[in-house]
Amino acid sequence: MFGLVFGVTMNLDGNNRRAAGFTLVELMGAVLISLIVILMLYQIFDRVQSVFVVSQNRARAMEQGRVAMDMVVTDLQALAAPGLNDTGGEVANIEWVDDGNTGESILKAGYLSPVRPFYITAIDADTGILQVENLISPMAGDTLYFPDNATPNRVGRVTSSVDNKFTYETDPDGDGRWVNPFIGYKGASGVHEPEPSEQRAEVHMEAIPHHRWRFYQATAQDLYRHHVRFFTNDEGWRFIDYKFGGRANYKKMDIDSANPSPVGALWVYRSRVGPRSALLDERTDHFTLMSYDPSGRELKEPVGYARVMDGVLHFRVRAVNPEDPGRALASPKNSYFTGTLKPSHVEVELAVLDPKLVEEMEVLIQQRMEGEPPASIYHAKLRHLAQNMDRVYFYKQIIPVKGGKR
Amino acid sequence: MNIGRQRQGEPGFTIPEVALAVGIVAFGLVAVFSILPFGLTAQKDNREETIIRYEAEYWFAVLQSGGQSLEALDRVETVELGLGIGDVYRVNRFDLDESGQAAWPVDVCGWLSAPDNRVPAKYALVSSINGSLFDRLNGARGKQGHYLPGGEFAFGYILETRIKPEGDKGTRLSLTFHWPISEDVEQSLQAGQSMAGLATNASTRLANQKTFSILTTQRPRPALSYLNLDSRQQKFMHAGLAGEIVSIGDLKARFPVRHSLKAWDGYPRRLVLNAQGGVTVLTGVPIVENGVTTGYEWKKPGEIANLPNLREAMGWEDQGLFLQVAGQQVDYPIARVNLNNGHFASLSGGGYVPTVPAIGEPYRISFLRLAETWEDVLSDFQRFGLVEGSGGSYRYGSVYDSPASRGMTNAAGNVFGVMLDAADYWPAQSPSTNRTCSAWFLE
Repeated sequence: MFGLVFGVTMNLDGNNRRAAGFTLVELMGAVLISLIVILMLYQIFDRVQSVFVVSQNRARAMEQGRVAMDMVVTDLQALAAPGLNDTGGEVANIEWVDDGNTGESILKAGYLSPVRPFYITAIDADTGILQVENLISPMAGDTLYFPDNATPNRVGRVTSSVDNKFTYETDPDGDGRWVNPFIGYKGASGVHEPEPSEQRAEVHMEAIPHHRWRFYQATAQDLYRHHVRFFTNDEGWRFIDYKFGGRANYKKMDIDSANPSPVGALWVYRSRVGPRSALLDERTDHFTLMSYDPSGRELKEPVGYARVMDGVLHFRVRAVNPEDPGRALASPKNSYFTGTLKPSHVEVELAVLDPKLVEEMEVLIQQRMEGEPPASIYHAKLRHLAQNMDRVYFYKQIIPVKGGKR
Repeated sequence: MNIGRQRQGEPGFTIPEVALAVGIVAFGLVAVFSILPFGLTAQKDNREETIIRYEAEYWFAVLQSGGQSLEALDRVETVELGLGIGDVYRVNRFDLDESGQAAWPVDVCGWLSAPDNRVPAKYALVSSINGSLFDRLNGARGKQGHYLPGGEFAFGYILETRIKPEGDKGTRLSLTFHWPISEDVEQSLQAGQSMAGLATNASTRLANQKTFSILTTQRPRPALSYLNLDSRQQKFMHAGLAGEIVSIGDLKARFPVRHSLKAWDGYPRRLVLNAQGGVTVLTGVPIVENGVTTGYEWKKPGEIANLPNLREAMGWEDQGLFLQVAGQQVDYPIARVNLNNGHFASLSGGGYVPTVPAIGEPYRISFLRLAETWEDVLSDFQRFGLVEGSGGSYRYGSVYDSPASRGMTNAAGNVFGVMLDAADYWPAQSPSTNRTCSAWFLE
């Protein structure tokens, strides 16, 4: 064996008096083995290289996220209460702006979870068992609905579940007769790929028992797209506005409906430093500057805001009212932080993606799904996100406001 | 070139030569491969250290916030406090009921802010607050363990806090993070081993540890609980909400003086007081002649039969208030009211002046002592930190009343609490009844 590898003939008595050339077979054997070794080394090198790239992306995302967080933290620390009035009455010292999204919580954009939604990959027409792509299926007792399905089968309950398989029942006529609509699916026995309307199912959070609700809450990350503006006083007064916006245009998340995405960017506007008396003018200037930025196109050189960071998934700001006995964190839609009242603490959350993940979502998935309905593209991106949550970095900081009443 | 033909009698390398060559190549390969894990581990360590730095920033802010209700602290799973060798108290969030879990964030802050001279060892098992979303979501766990597969790989650590008051300079806060939480560590903790033991014992301590320290102008202040309040103080605090602003007029309406002859149920009362502080309330049963009440017959509780609308003379809500008997310039604190029959009560404080048994005396029940005004009381309560304000407008403070704190027990089942000195209650006055404390907040 060794002889073959090194192209030699064994000579156990230790003499090598007369050297000779290698045979073709020996050479071919040696080349083959060398190739195998080189391939193995290449694979190792490639693996190391990819780990290095992943780590480098992680480090870059963490660093950028940290820089953005530091910026927000520094600004919020200096939050101040100028106690201004304009023609509309008292001007809030810090306020949350609803840019059009409405809901229970201000600017709540949804959630991200390894559990919700469930992507159904196979349906056994004989047993009615559904198999999901997720690691675990919804649990028995959960109320489930199929958001892409308009028929009465769309809402039902999970009757049993094991690992990533479950069975489902629904009461299509509302007469108390529960049936599994997937038995005899597509009119033929065997395992079938689901139709698009049955590929996605979600847990109906309002209709499940409280303990299950807590389970899903614990394993989900609510996503917020906050827009918050406030006044600061740190060697002069300033008006500051942070906004979650689109990657290329702070005014809207999606440049056009063909490119829907859960990923955006964090934008900021900082006014000039000036006396307290100039704050309202600075605020007005900001609104004027925004009107120069077209709303429907990519903003090459925006004047209303500057982009702090790209690849942002979640931005949430909550404040503590020192007069609230419970000292709860809140983002009130109608801010009560007016006059001399300012928060004692502000908590900021920021979730950012590593640049490679942004590229995968915004370029690769977008190209792959060219021409498909926007909802499908959006969910494909969400699904990719859910499968790569180790590449999404979450920051949370509680900030004591300088001079704030404790 | 010699295609496929065996060479005869040609010399080759000897076995030692080949072995040497193979050995050298093997050494090279081993060296290359042995470097790889170092590189990967270094990257992982760097990432973890970065997260730990963020965590430190968050925890410093949490401790200095004075007990905010932050849901992020739900990521603390277990807190362990050590008062001395073998005297370890521990509570797991999942062992608490819903009300205990709701109060958990404030409790965590209160426990971890205890000064070292009172609670030398303070540890918490935490799933990281910052970091990747995978860690955040998969790390979430319930009583039975992680909700999702892979949760055991989520990043977590043991946090150790040191709170050292340094006189006028303030307080030095030190946070030591111990990580990673390996399977061995989890098993040891589940087997009952203390976090302090794991973190300090050379043979069991976690692979990494890092300490951060800052000096703050704040000082740890003991949180007042209902245990620390006398009955009257408790009554006062129960009558308002934390943060509520009240005037003296509001308080007078909440704590009206009840005169026994001004009957609230149509029947005037008098009392008989014995030398042991026992009170029997006599009820005035009207003597009616021709439809007109001409007087009252004073009946003991057992002698009254079927009087319409008759109510109890006293209730549990009177405990802690003062009973003032006509003709006696004495304030008798009401210690206990018989809950089966509110016409019997017992007093505390001693020095009882008995009344004439058969007739009894009028009395009144008051929140204030005879020579006391509301201004006096509120001024006194301000010294305890129960209220703040002046000029007729007062804001209710808060009393630490956590269901979770009752879950912090040691192996013998004793609930955690430290008996403090009067000087610990700066700048407030120390409690007059009980100085047991289980939580501190930096102020």
